[in-house]
Amino acid sequence: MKGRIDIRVSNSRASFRFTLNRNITVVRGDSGTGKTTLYEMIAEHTRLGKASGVEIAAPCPCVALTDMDWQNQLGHTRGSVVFIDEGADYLASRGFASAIQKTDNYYVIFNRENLHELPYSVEEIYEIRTSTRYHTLKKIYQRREGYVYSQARTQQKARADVLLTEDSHAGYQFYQRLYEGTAVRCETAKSNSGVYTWLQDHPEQNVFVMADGAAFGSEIDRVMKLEKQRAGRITVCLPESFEWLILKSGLIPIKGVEKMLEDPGEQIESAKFFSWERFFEDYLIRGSAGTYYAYSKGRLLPFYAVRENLNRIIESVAEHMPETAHE
Amino acid sequence: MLNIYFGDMPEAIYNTAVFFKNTYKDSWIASPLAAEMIADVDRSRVVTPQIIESPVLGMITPLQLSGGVKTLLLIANDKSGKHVFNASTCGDNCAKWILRLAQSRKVVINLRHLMDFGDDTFKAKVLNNGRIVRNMREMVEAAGQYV
Repeated sequence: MKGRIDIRVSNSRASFRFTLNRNITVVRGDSGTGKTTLYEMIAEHTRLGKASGVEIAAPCPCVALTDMDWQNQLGHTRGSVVFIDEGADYLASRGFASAIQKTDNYYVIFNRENLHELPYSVEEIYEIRTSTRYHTLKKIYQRREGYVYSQARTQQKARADVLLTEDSHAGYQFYQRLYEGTAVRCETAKSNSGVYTWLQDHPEQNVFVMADGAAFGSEIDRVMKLEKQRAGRITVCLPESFEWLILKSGLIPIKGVEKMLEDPGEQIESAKFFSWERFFEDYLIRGSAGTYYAYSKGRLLPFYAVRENLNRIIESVAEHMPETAHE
Repeated sequence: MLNIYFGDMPEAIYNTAVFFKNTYKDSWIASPLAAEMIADVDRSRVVTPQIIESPVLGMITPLQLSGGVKTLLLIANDKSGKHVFNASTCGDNCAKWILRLAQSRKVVINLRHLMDFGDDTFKAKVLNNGRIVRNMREMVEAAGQYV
């Protein structure tokens, strides 16, 4: 499946209305806000259909994963939105991630755990907001200008000693080049989960974290809690991905790229791409193949390391980045 | 005191809703503490031990309480400390109740995320490494690596 999916679930007591933007949506937040109610309405509709009294308006089937034999149930589910309750102890497993990776379903997961095996976006983590009998989803992590996420009330330009990226290949090489000759040191955490560990090991550093928002959902809770506790010492910048920054800069002339960037979800087939991050990487590699600027994830070509191109690529996030000596 | 084991804990009861369904007693719901917790977290009123008035759902049974309240009730009524419950089924609005339950006795819970215990000081032991934490900053630093 691809694109946005508008869903309304209602009975005589409650009405839920929300839009899914990507293949994985996580719902958490306070207790007593209606997560279980929504899940049970879907589960009753899954068992009994219209005879449940639950009405679902959606462009595709909405089903609850209720069977203990979840692998079998998933094996028979196609082109659907699958809702999974917090009691499912397999959610954090590699087996579950592997089972849903190449399916053409969307998944709505009610859970507060950091699901490290799943590449979900920081933009698709929600809580339920209620007004009388009407419920909707609200993003938990609000994005600020320059793709900065913060729990601080005010936002200032980062004074970072270190730019920390989860990337250890082209992205890391890019930022190394960008800050070459400045007081800002570039470090790689080598993975998303390495970001928290690195921050924990370096409590005295002022750090600008640069990671791929499209797949950082499992890390954002603990990193943002650290950001809150070390007020002013950590800045978290989460554009969709490094490849997305390149595409957005307009540096690479690919036909249709602007239209794609206006609404990426319309082109991202969930069965093919587990996360948007992977789609942008694939799009850039295919779009630049056979040219002198052919992009490779493993090694940054000199073309991308030219000062003018470096600055152009970071344009959409530059506002809050630590200053380079060449600005 | 509150004792927390962070991360995967196979011996903990993960699906607290199912455990609640099969073990709760009317007397649990009838207690003043339960009425307070249900009013605060679920904004609902205990009418009788079998009937609760929810502002959204109307008259419901205890089985329709939120996952967070069910887990709080399990912790509150496991006075011998026989079980460890997955308290990641509780939202942050349950944190103060967990601290309150741990004021008078030893409470052990399993957390698979960093619950926000608020801006005030509290005392909890991180069982993974034995560290005592007294506020959220210390908890985030001591336990974040396990979740």
